Amino acid sequence: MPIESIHTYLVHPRAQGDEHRNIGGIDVPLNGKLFDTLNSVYEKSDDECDIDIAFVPNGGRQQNDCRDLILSYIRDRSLDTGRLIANRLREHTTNRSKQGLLVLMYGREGSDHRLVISRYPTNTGILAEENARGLDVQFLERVFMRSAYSYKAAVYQHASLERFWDGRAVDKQISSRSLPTPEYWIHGFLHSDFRTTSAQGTRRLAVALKKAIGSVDNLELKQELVAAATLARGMAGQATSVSGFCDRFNLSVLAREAIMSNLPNTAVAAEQFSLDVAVFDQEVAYRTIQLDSGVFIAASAREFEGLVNREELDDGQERFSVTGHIINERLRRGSLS
Amino acid sequence: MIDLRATYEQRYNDVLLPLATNLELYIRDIFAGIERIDRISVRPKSIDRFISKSLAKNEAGTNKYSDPLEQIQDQIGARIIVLFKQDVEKISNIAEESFRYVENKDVEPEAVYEFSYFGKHFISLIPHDVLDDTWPRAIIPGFFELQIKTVFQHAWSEASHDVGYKPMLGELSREDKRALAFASAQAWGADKAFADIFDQLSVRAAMQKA
Repeated sequence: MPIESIHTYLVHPRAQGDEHRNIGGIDVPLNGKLFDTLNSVYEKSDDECDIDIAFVPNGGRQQNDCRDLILSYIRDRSLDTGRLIANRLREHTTNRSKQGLLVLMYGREGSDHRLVISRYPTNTGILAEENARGLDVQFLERVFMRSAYSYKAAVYQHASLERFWDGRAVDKQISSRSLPTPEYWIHGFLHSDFRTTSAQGTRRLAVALKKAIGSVDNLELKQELVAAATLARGMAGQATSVSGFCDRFNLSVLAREAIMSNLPNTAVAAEQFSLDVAVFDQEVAYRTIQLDSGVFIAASAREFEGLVNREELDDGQERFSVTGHIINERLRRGSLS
Repeated sequence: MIDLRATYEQRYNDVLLPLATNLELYIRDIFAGIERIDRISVRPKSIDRFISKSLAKNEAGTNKYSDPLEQIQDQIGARIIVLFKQDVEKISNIAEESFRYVENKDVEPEAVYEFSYFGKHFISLIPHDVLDDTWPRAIIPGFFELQIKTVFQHAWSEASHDVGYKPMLGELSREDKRALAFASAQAWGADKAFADIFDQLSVRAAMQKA
């Protein structure tokens, strides 16, 4: 049985004057129905937490308040050290988020330490029980459910605590486009950010897309990829991943394969990041020069200088030369004016 | 008790060498087309240097590293050497956006009248883009160090490393140490001179355009 301890706390939203109010918590026994339920959450946490995150350092130093609390808790697991994490969650819980149940589960997976932190939102429910007289129905005011849209969790795992700088999280509100991105779980409480920076992730997507466009011969497929690249600008600032991008534009299997085969490895496809349009344009944008002779020259902006030779002539005109094999040639209707 | 040298040697050959190659290509791609980069290099810390660092002591005389394989974060070292001081800032800004760092500092002497090592250092998480699915997860380091320096800062640190940190001919005398500080001050002065000239030329070019 890899779980070694479970502590749980009822965390109310922060309110003026209750900073010193003790947060109630219990040490959950490692058997029984509650344990079985939590154990299944612990075991599934790797699959469920699908957002790669990393702690944000404090002023450039290798320090982060939330990380410090987590490490203290792992080194000395007790209701009191766990309560410090619960206090931090209270500081970051707004009235909009209402109260929640914080669960800290620690275990060993081989030589690895694993800590799962989950927050169950409050919900209401109805309990219906059949008895000899018929049916007994009760309204339940505080029910904590993992299926709720605002369930949140984070998992950290490594053999060395030195490496507890990155982990994985789930925040069902982030996945829901109908709700504003909640800042308080990942950015606030965990004081973390996506492990992949906007520039890193956007460049990864743009390079894979650019290579995919260059590698496919089928014109329809090429057009599908170019269309997706064009529409990407509409996703400025949104959280996405390479897989998420393919889903968003409902790309065909062949288009998706063309992109995925141009990623450095399979693991990066699901990593989330915020799309940075400026970086995307830098990688995918085409630079075009139009001459008064009616000729257009277009090439990838990043490679333009290397692909197109430019020579200044004495009369102020310029001569351009390009080299390559013709892979496509088309006639287009154009205006002569 | 693990054999630290043998363990690091395996990590060095199986992961650090190919990882350094991948990371160098990755960094070159990020900084492609940016002017006044003199060189970009990435290399793993040599086995001897790693072992030597793992034996470092604190001021109290105790071992600085209880778990060197995890605590020594510069097993992969990347360097970007640029021409002018202004370029250090520009490249650092791009590095901040391009890597998820856990440390970001200007390394310089504490007192303003002291001269020794100068440089911009980042400790960053290894981007997953440079990893190979076949490498054993347990021996992939978590971090790499990125140093951004001018050519003069780089020249001083390379030369002083051999004579200062790894004395070839015994301990340095007070006079030797003063000479090293003097050389650092000269490098600092050279950087300042070139930075000033670069600024003046930029102003003149802007005025000509206007």
